[in-house]
Amino acid sequence: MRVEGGLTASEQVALDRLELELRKLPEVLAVGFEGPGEGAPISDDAVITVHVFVTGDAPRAQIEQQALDLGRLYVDRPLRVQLAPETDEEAPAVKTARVATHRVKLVDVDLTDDGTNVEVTVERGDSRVVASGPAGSLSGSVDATLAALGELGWSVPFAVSSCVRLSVGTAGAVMVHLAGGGGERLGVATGSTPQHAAVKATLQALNRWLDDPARRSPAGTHPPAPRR
Amino acid sequence: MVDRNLLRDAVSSPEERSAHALVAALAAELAQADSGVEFIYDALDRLVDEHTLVDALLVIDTPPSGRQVFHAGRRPIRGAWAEDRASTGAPGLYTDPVILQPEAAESLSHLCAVAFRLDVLTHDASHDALTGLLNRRSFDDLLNRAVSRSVRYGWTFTLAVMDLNRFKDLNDRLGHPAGDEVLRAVGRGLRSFLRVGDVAARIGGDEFAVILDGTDPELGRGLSARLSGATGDMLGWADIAFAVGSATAPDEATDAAKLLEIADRRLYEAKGR
Repeated sequence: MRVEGGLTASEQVALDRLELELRKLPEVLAVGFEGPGEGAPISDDAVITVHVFVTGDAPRAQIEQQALDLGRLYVDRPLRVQLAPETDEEAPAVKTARVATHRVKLVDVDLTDDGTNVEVTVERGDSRVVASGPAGSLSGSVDATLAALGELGWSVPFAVSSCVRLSVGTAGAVMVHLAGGGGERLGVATGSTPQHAAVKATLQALNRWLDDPARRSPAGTHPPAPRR
Repeated sequence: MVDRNLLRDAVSSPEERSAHALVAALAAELAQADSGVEFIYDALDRLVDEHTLVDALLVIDTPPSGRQVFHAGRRPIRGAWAEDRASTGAPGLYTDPVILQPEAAESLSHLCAVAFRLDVLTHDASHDALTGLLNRRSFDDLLNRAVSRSVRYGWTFTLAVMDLNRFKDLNDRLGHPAGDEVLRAVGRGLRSFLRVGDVAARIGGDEFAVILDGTDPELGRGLSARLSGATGDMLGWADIAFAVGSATAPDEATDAAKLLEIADRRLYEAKGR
């Protein structure tokens, strides 16, 4: 049960949509709901308090108004909006991703002109490599990614075990399962194309493994990863 | 709904069951879920319920949405444990007490990040990126549904279309960034007086449409004034005005194209005055 108390199934769905809309506001970090008192469950016809946790640079008055306006679009009962942290000084400073500069960066995923192969371009520091795999199946994209990592200097003890497309609504994602001497790894990612998603999922599956510098030798000293 | 047994298997056990099996199965469940947000809260709440946890909190970082925090029970972020992690914690899954194998926690975090991203992508496919209102395709779909409901059940509604007078001049005078700001303000203005069940969309460059419950003639006529009022503070500098045309269903038309045609004709009559 996500929100205790008297909410119908359609109200739950409405809260899902409201929450997603609120989270799309750039300064919103989290959204919570509760009844009229602190920690109170939501009961029939009672006021719902929408808690919006924002960053320090957030235009608080504007967000509060937008939250009320959005709330009226989705929830047919009295709403109150509470921003947190309560003062600007307490709010987290910036809402930005932490980027590990030493990580492998995906540059491009593209098909060759004849459409038979997928080409994966990755880089790490000053080294940029391109590797290819058959475009006929998503596993080819995974293979190409593993080959590219081999070109960058890793002896990757994994091979693709399975590669599955997922979908929710109109959006899609790919799940990649790798297995081999390094154990098992699993990654899930969305992408602009299924091939792009498969490459991102492969890198996600291996991110932690790749982070260990001991696993990497100078570029070109290892053969490419196993191909299917 | 997330299977309780799957989450139970994520917890450290003498057998050290595979976290990957868990995530593979959860991914299959995600494919069946209606909403990624629902999936995420379901997973967090099952963890808390099954293992009698004090708390569970997920921090993800998915461009372009950036940092997002989900608290079990959909509760507000409150108290030092939650606030510290929500504000400064690295992306990941936090439980109190810590019970998950690191790999299981990491895999669950990844999966939840994908679930959220899927929701955002689905939302973006049906909404206008600039104003946040529905896009033309979604609006056409909803208008057709509204007309069908009107014919079938006698539900009455008003369709109003509107555009901005002198919008092109404004773009020429102040540049496209100013024009974009005006459109965003109109989007916020429209949302400020809509209610549950009302629909607002950007259906063209500076053209908007709304579906309002009821057929009170004042609904359509008053729209321009209400929109001007709602955006007055934001658009005082822009020197623009709204023209509105409206039509009602099922009284005036019982198909979407005809309804739009009537509303459009009245819009152009209003612009000519």
